Amino acid sequence: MMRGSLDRTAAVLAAADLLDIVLDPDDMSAVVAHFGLLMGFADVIGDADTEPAPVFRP
Amino acid sequence: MSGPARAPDGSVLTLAAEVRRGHVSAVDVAKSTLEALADRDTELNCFTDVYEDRALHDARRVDTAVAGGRDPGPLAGVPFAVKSLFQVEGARTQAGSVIQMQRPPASQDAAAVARLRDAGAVLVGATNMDEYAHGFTTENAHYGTTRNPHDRERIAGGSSGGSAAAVAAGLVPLALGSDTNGSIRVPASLCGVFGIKPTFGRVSRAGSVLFVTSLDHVGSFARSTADLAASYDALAGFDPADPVSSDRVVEPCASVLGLGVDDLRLAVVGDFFHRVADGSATEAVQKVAAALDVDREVVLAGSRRACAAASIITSAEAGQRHATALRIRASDYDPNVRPGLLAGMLLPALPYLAAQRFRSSYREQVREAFRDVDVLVTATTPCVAPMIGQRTMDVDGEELLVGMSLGLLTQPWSLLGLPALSVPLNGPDDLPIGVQLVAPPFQEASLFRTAAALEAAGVLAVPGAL
Repeated sequence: MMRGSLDRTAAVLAAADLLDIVLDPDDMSAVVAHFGLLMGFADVIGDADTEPAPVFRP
Repeated sequence: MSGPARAPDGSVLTLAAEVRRGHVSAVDVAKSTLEALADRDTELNCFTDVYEDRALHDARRVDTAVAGGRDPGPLAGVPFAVKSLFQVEGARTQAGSVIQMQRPPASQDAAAVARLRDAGAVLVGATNMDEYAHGFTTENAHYGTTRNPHDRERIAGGSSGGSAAAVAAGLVPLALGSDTNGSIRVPASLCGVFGIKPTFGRVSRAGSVLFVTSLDHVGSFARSTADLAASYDALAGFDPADPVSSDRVVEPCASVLGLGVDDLRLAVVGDFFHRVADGSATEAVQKVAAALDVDREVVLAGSRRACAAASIITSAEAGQRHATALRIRASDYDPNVRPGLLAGMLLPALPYLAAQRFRSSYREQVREAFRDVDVLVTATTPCVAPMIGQRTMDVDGEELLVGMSLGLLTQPWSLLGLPALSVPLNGPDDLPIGVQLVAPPFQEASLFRTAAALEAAGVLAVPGAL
């Protein structure tokens, strides 16, 4: 069993590296903050696995 | 100071009727509107482009039709503006960015622009916005901040802030906007005008720069319910060029405004929608509820999750849309927009899929609520217009980012593609604030009837010349 130990900044850099994105150092704190917000939103949504499949109709 | 030519009652339909009868020249209306833009927009910064030659050309076309006994259309000679993300033939589609300006000019009008032009309306210019519609403030690093006509030190809201402010200031009586999470309704609320976000797929998005494919809507701003309904009737309809366009028959709305609301079941949305609204927003909802004799309240328990889901879907889809440009020219993006797009691009798939799954279950919950309700009532924004440059605001005892929080009351409805209309009321310190009316899919007529009833009851703030 392995569990990563990256902090959020390192995780953002790792994801950017995987996607071949170069991040401006001046943007880092804002990108990390936005990323943190989004992951916080994911926590708010919670586990939706048992809910209906995503078929969108208005 | 010059001012745009107006009908005595300020109504779009009265102006169009005068033009159609040949009592007023569309060219004269266009000229006076263009003079007003040159004279009064310097301070407000609503417009990023003015199409003088095109406006005069289209106005002459209307006058020629009238002189020749041909029907110039129901909006004959009515000046209008478009958010700068709509294609305008021969012009570059700016979308609040500098990147777009290196692309070739549009070869044809966006569908919504073409529909208004076919109805006889005359396009005079394109309006300022948050870059690529990413934001709620219209503080644009490239093209400046659009100022609120009610208080120049406050934001107009966004992302369609230039359009809302232009209508509020009386520079044009109609304007087009787009709404992903509230980008029509939020600026409508903060600028004190009427704004409609129709049902998803009701108005074609063809020829507009999309921001979030599964959330983007096209709609309009006006200074009265009747004017807004006239624009909606001209805009709504099937378009095979837009993959999400609905072929459902359009129910005209301008002709039903006088039907009243006696047969409509109305309810205020409580809980989250009450907690997020401050005192001024709550008071506005109470005024509307009292005028309509609404004593029922419904609770939609998943609404906070709906906002979270909308934010995740927005970030992920927008990040994906801009992935190529972010790789090769990230520095050309607005520095206030770029971090959000990058974060969305880096987001794992799991939160996005969970958000889409939640969207489905929330739709079922709201559908259930609409079994015995026809129109839901909430505040449009949590508060009146924040100051320019203000970064945070207090929402329900929590300090949140202005740029993300102004849409908390609008996001749940666009997540579901529901039609929503914001009506203007007077808030504290002579600042406007909107109340939002929401209906089941394709029931725009219920919204217009309710707005008209509120207007007739004298509850709404009538936009004046600012």
